[in-house]
Formats: sequence, C-alpha cells, structure tokens
Amino acid sequence: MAAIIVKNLTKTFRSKQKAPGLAGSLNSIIRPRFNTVEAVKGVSFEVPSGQLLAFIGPNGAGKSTTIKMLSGILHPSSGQARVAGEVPWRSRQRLAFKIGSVFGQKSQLWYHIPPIDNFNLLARIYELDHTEYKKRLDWLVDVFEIAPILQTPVRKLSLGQRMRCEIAASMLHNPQLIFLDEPTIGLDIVAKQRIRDLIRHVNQDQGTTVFLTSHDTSDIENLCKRVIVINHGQLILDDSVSVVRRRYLTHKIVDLRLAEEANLPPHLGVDVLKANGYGIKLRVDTTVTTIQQVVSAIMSGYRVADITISDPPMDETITRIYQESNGDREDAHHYDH
Amino acid sequence: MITRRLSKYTAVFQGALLSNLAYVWDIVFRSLFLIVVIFVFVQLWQLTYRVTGANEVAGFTLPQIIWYLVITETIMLSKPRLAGMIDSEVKSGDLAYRLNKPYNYVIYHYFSNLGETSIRFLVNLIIGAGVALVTVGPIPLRVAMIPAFLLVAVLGLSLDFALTAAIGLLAFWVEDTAGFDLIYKRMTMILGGMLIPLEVFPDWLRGVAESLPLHHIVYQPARLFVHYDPGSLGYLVGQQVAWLAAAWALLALIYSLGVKRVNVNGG
Repeated sequence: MAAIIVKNLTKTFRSKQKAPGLAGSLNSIIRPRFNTVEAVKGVSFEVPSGQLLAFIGPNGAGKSTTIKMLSGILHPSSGQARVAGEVPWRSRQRLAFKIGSVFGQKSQLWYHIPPIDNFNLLARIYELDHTEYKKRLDWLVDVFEIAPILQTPVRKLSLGQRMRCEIAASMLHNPQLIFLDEPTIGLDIVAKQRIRDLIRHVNQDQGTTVFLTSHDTSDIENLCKRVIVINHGQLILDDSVSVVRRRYLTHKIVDLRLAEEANLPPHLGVDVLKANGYGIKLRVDTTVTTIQQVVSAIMSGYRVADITISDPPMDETITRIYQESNGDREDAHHYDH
Repeated sequence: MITRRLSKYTAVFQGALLSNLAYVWDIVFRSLFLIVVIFVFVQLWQLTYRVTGANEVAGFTLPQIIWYLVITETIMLSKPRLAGMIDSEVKSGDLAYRLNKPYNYVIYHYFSNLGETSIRFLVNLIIGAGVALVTVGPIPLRVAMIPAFLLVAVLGLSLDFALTAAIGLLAFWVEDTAGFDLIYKRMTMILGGMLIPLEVFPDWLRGVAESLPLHHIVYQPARLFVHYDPGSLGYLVGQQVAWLAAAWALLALIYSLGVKRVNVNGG
C-alpha cells in the first residue's frame, strides 16, 4: 500500500511587489501589484509504505511547500494527494494522528519543561491510551537512549539530545509516516550519525515510512534507498540512490602513496588534483578511460605503497543534478524567447 | 472521547503553567512594577479624598478604590502579549507548525494563554494585595464572592483573548497589527475602567463605555471584588457570555478566512 500518492500537485502563491523608495511604497498602497510564484508545479510521485525516501532540492525549490501540502497545512492550487489514506488538506486533524513531523529548525517541545513532561502532555494531545502510551514511551526511551535526560529541561539539552527527544516526541503516537525536515541540521558528526542510526532503526523495526529532507548528502547516502530531487517546483529526478550515483558518477578519485618520489606523465582523462612528493591525488574521468588502465599504468611504472579508490562525495553528484536542472531551465527560457 | 478531547486542551494549559512556573521568579520581579503603580495610585487618591473631604467618591471608599485598582492592574498585567505573538506566528509562518497537530489552533492558544495568565495573575494578586494591605488595609470580603469573582474574571479574560487573538490574526491581511493592539489596549485602559471606575465617568462617557465589551474585561471583575452583589451576578454573567459568544464568532470567522491564506516561508 502506498503511504503517499501525489498527482499533479501544484501550488501558486501571490506575492506583493513594491518598487523601491517612498514613491514605490505609496504606490503599492494605492495600486498594489502582485507577482504570481509557482512554488510547486505539477509534481507526481508515490511512496510505498515503509520506504525511507530522501526528498531534496536547493533552497526555494518547493520542498517545504510540498511537505506542508502533504501534512495538510497548505491547500494546493490544483492536483491531488493522499497521505496515509487521507486527503491532507481536507482532514488535517485526522491525518495528524497518523503522521509525525520533525522540523530541524523548529522545536515542538515546551522549552522550559523536561522531556518527560513534554511526552506526558503530548500523549494527552494525541489522545493516547495510558497503557499503550507507557509501553511506547518505554520503547522510545530505550531506543533513543534518553533515560538520563528525561528530567532535564529541554532548554538545557544539547542540540543532539534535543533532536533525539524531538524525534521520540513525534513518534509517541506510533505514526505510519514521519516527515523529517533537516533532522541533522547543526549537529556534530557523532550526533548526526546517532540520529541516522535511530531513523534507520525506527524505519526497519517499526516499518514507519520516512520522508526525509536534508541538505546533508551524507544523510541521503547513509539512510535512503530512493531519492526525489525537486528544483524550481518541478520534480527533476526520482530514482534509487545507487542508480543516481552510477548515472552521475563520471569520475573516481585515486589516492596514491608511492614508495619513491615521482612525476606522473600526463594520461588522457586523468587530472592531478594534488601532488606532494610521495602522495598523489588523481581524478579519473571514467567516460574517457578506465580505472583499470590508469592503475595498471601506475603500477607498471612505480612502486606503490598504498592506493585508495573512492567515489567523489555525493555533494558533487547532487550539485551536478541541480546545475543540470538549472541549465535545462535556462535552455528552455532561451528556447521560449 | 469528549474527556480525551478536553484532556488535550487541559494538557496545553498544564504545559503553559509548568513552563511559566519554570521562571516564576522572573514573573515575580516583573510584577514588582505593580508596587510602584499601586503606590502612585494610593498617593493620588489619598489626595483626592483629602481635598474633597468626602468619605466616598462615586460609591467607593478610599480602600475600596485602591483594591479596585489592584484588581484592574492585576488583570491587565497578567495578560501575555498575545496579539504580538499570533501576529509574529502568522508572519513568520510558524503558525504552520501548529497546524499539523491534532488540536485547534485557536483553542490551543486559548488554553496556553490561560495557563500563562493564571501564574501571572496569582503573582500579581499576591503582590498587589500586599501593597493594598500595607497602604489602605483590608476591605470586607465575602467568601461567596471569591468563586463569583473568579468566574467573572475568567469570562473577562476569555473575552479579552478572543478580541486580542482576532487582532493578531489580522496579520493575514495587514503588515503590522501592533497599531490595532495599541488602540485596543488604550481603549481597555480608559473605557474598560482600568484607571478609574466607570461610576466616576460623566454620564455620556459611562454610556459609551457600557455599550462596549471592554468594561467586562477589567471593570466588572474589579467592581464585583469590592461591591459584590449576588442579585446582579446572573445578569452580569449573561452579558459576558453574550459578548464572549459574539467575540468568539468574530475570531472564528477571521481564523477560518485567514487560515486559507497561510503562507510558508522558505521552500
């Protein structure tokens, strides 16, 4: 069963325009001018139950607008959607019982009171059965390892601790689907990894569908099987993370540690990124040559102490996808004119 | 089912109560301002009574007028900055983050507001009563007055909530609601009887004040505190409930129209 079904979802905003200066301000009072912005343009996709999906895009791409339509906060201008079997904007309150949401930059917890009080109050807000709630709470406290901080006011928690509590709070009512908007923002590397482990655990153990947005590509690489990319309000890519990597990975990084100092001769499709005596870092364009050819050439000419072959960071892949979609858009504009 | 529905809003009330209890000393220090206010009023009214040589002004003795002012100030200083808060939630888009919870946004704010008001009210009342006791002494109070006073005060504060929240929600249409809020507060101060009881007003102004809902917020609870009249309580509560229903209907209308205009920052 699909947790989310979206068909041709579109959202148009009208924003007031104002010319600069006092004259512009006065003019906008008498004759206000509005600009129509299409934040989301005919987006369609489905998310099967239990999937862990990354929904990404650059700033202003339409991610938040889409999430807000899917959680019933915004009415779309046109199109259809079903989330956990509900039409979000028609039955927002009913949907609220079936979904959870965490917005990395907004806290849903009462700031001055400890997590345990927050959880107890949220249990009442979500109309949970007392026995069920206690069981659920015990599980969450155990999995999220928050027992030592249950009595500490939220304002005194570190960002990582607070985020664990935020996610636990959003899961108290055992939602079928959880929207995680930038759950690792601002966290250090250890805290990030911990949050990722928890998200994976909840997804696998409870079968909770996870709809994740993040600007941190490591979140996507580490967690998600599928990625949807949105830019300028349009869906530009919807595929598995591994396929995306393969399709956009046109080069590899080779890190060499030589047993002797050497100057490598130029090789077609190979760029030297860094060379300092024994250490050399190469970028190999796999559309021009193969890793095997490059490595064989080096091994036959030099004594190699160590070699590492890696993919470029996911960041580069995502940047390329964004850039290509921007390029397409500009091409389309040129074509229009 | 109904118990659970109600329980979620009492949870919101409790959350606000606990949050405010966390920094109760801040509230106490802020309330010390009340000492200055009441002290100034005591000086002014002592002078008025001395100059006129009267025992009563508009039916109030000096201690009664000071206790009246303690109650009006307690109510006014207990109200959180609701309009500003809702205004900023609307403009920043933070309102959206409350909409995906299983509660009604307006009722959520009502109970949250009530929780915060309760703590402040209690602290203000203790400090204000302390100043009144020291400066003019006690006034005779009837035990039966206390529940009546609490009922009328809660109804008054609920009416104030509906009007103030409606002002805050105007942010869906106007850039800044601070001007409306300021006018509303000043009108409540003057026509609502915060500074002087309506009995002291000239007849025409008293007529104007009584035709508006504002006097139900501060004047009526404060007057009931010093002039408890069980016979007129039913009529008073009836009037308050009628105004409250009208104000709540207005608030619900503004909210239902406004929520369709919810905009989201970022994207």
